[in-house]
Amino acid sequence: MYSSTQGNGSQDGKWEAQLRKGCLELAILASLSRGKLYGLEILRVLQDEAQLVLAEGTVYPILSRLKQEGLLDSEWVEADAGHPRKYYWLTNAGRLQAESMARSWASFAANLTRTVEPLLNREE
Amino acid sequence: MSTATIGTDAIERYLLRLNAALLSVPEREREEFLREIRGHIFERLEQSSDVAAILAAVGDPEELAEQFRVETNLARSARSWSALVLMRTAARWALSGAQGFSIFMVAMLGYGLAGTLYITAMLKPIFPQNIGIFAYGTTFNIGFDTSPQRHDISGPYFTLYAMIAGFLLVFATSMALRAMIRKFARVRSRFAAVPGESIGISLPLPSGTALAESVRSLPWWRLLRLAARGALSGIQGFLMFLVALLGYIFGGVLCLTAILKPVFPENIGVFVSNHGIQLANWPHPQGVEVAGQYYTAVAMLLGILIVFTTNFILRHLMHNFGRLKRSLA
Repeated sequence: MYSSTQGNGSQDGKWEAQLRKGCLELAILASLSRGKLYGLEILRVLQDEAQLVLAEGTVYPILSRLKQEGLLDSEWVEADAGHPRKYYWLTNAGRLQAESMARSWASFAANLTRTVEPLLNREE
Repeated sequence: MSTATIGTDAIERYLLRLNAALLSVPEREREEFLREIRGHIFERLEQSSDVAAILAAVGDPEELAEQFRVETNLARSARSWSALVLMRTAARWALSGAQGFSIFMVAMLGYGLAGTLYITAMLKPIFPQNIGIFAYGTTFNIGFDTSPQRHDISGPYFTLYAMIAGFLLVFATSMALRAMIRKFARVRSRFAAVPGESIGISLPLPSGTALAESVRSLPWWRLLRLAARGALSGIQGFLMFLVALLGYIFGGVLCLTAILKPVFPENIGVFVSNHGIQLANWPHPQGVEVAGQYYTAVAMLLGILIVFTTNFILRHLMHNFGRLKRSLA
């Protein structure tokens, strides 16, 4: 259900899939930090900005869980197109959780970038 | 039949498959999820008329349903006050580890008994009178015995018998363990949340196929270690199941005796005797009943308190174990 956009061998692909999988929850919470979005809009943010290409249905079970955990809230809105859309937004707890996760991610990424820098320089 | 009709049929078939795969999910949640997926598909149809491609992009309905179940089950249980929901989740969790426990028990019994046989075989020359196969009429005692009536029927051959029996036992235990782990691995891979490269949250367990393949060449000590790991992965489940079982049964019994006290005033109460403390004394009451007229009120209060505390503990355990499972997934 997940397709990696990069990766050389199957091992690289697996590693990258696991890495992206671990970041999906943060990516969803971060995409909702800009306001109310429905499923397809969240997917577009994930695909266009985070380059997370995934089976489109995958995002809905995660949204359901995050809602059950009290991190998101939702409501059905009748759209002009005729199909109702379920809009999601962050609750206060969700915003705090997203901010905490974002801080952890930024710190982790910065530290790891320093560690892998010699490898990147060698490639250049 | 028009192209549009064929497309709609395909969508309906897809949603029927999804619905069928979600039958174990509460109706309200299932309908909400189906409505959302239906909305997504029709939204996509406005941009493209290729129904097959749209459905393929949404994902396999059975995998999607499995992912939904795994994602929401623990979160739902961790927030539920329903004893039924908590008990069911605890039982499922425990059962998922029951295989691990059964493998571990087979390993412990088989290798343990074999080890004992080897030890007695080696000790026989040191304690020739006390180690052997001792007959008492129709019963036997294998190992160490100090009874004056003992009669060793193995004689000097005990060391040989014990070594051969120990070897056979190790071999049989290894065979049984390999078969059980292979079967366990197949079940495990069948129940994996989303196979392959999927993004779904999967159980923190080794790949079933890899386990089945690698187990063929494992020595006995690695089989034992594997069995121990399997048992440990189920300990959380057993712990929760035991808490649920003890808490709900004890709370339920207290409430039940509180209700039955007016019907059987002589037989229900707190009876203190030489045998200890009993809540019900049947058919002839023994000991002194110390609760008296307050029994119903106290037992009911205590029963409700125990059920409430069990709920609280289970919710807490499920929340923390769920977080642990997801972080390991």
